[in-house]
Amino acid sequence: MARTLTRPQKIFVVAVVMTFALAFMPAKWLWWLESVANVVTLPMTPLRQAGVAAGHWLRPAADPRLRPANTDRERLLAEQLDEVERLYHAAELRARELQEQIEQIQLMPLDDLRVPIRPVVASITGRNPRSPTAKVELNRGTRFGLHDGTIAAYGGVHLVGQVVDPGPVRSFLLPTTNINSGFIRARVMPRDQIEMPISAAPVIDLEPRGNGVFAADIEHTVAVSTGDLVRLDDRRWPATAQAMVVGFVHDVRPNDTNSLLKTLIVRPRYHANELATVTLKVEIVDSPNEGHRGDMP
Amino acid sequence: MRWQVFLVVAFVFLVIDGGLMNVMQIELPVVRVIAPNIVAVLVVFVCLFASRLSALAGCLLLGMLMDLSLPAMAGEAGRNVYIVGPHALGLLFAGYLILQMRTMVFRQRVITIGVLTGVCVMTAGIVMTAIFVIRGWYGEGVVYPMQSSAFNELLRQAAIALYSGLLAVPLGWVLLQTTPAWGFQQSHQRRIAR
Repeated sequence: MARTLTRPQKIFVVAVVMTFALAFMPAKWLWWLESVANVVTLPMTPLRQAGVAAGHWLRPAADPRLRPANTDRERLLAEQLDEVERLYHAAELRARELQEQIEQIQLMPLDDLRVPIRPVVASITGRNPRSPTAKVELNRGTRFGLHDGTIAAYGGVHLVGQVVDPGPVRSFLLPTTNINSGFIRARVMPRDQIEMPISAAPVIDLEPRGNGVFAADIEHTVAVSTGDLVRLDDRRWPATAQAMVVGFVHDVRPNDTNSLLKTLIVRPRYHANELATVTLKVEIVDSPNEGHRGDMP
Repeated sequence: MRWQVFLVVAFVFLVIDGGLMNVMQIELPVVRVIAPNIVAVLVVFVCLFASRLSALAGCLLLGMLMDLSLPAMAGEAGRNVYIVGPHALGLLFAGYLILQMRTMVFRQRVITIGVLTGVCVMTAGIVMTAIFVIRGWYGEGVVYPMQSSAFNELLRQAAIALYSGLLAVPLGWVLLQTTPAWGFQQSHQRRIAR
């Protein structure tokens, strides 16, 4: 004899069938879920933010150059030194660009390198602890001047990612290591030759591997060693991001498919997933048509 | 099962999972960064003591809330993409498996919760990986939170299962102390009710 379902059982069966359908529906049909997710995460956001801050206090993202005994002043000096180095290398990159475009030199004074920005500190309010390259949620949005492509940094010069799809009061940060960030053109700076001009440093194309690191092929004859800094030199990224530190060379491996090349494994010094806050470099523009932004990568 | 208690505890677990679990991240070779899944501990606890329908409904609800409360996945050009289903169906299947096993285990032991949490995370991981692999064939450019190959992803899920199982022992003990507050029906009470 056929068993009849009770009302709660019928509701449950319908819910399971609908979940099956949603699980395999094309992503473009699921645009409305973002609003539902906003409602679900709304009550969690303040508590998660406190949790992220507490987690950062318990286990801060480590800077290998500093020891726990270092004072705040020493940390500040280290960050300022990083920023000066970034500006120096950014100046070099811009100078090289200007050499190629001589007619523009008079129109582009070097002062422009210091793109006027308004730093906005954003707290991370949500993240997937089991996916280091997944997006993280920020508690700042377009009301704070954020837009698609706003650069997120940590420790002044370390590139963490960029803002994507900002809402009025919250937004998501796409880490540089996410596959959808695409290739990033960068230069490898030998760690023992600080004074080396960035334009003389070898160029590499970093490919995010989806597991928190980048890989890049380089000619076997080029001298690269672990610990070398990797700085951004990619005109598809905004001016505020140029010469920022993308990461450091973690490993140098022989290339299995081409013996003339070797593969560099580059790791960011800081992952978005392990931070409690990031600094967003919001560019100050005089009018909607006048900005310093480059094209999005 | 008292649904008010379930919802409050689920809320707390989801907040901890999304906000504080990074503290427990560890890095392993091949599978790289892993963190335990504490929501699975709640799934196991509910499946051990609640009635079948309540347990399965709880698993589905918890999974849906996980799908919606974790940050969006990155679609083409990094656009936000939300998908309901991977966690929901994963935890539903895992919950069903635990319901089949619960008559064979000592429910009041924390070691039971620890072992079953490992089973739960692994089962949910297999279902989630299958969904992500199938969705990967659509070619939508969405970056799913998984490794470069299904095998590596299953290795990662096994590592998360082991780690979650270890964490489930102290957490399971805490949940067992709260059992009276949940208003679970005993099996003989359910038989009388029928």
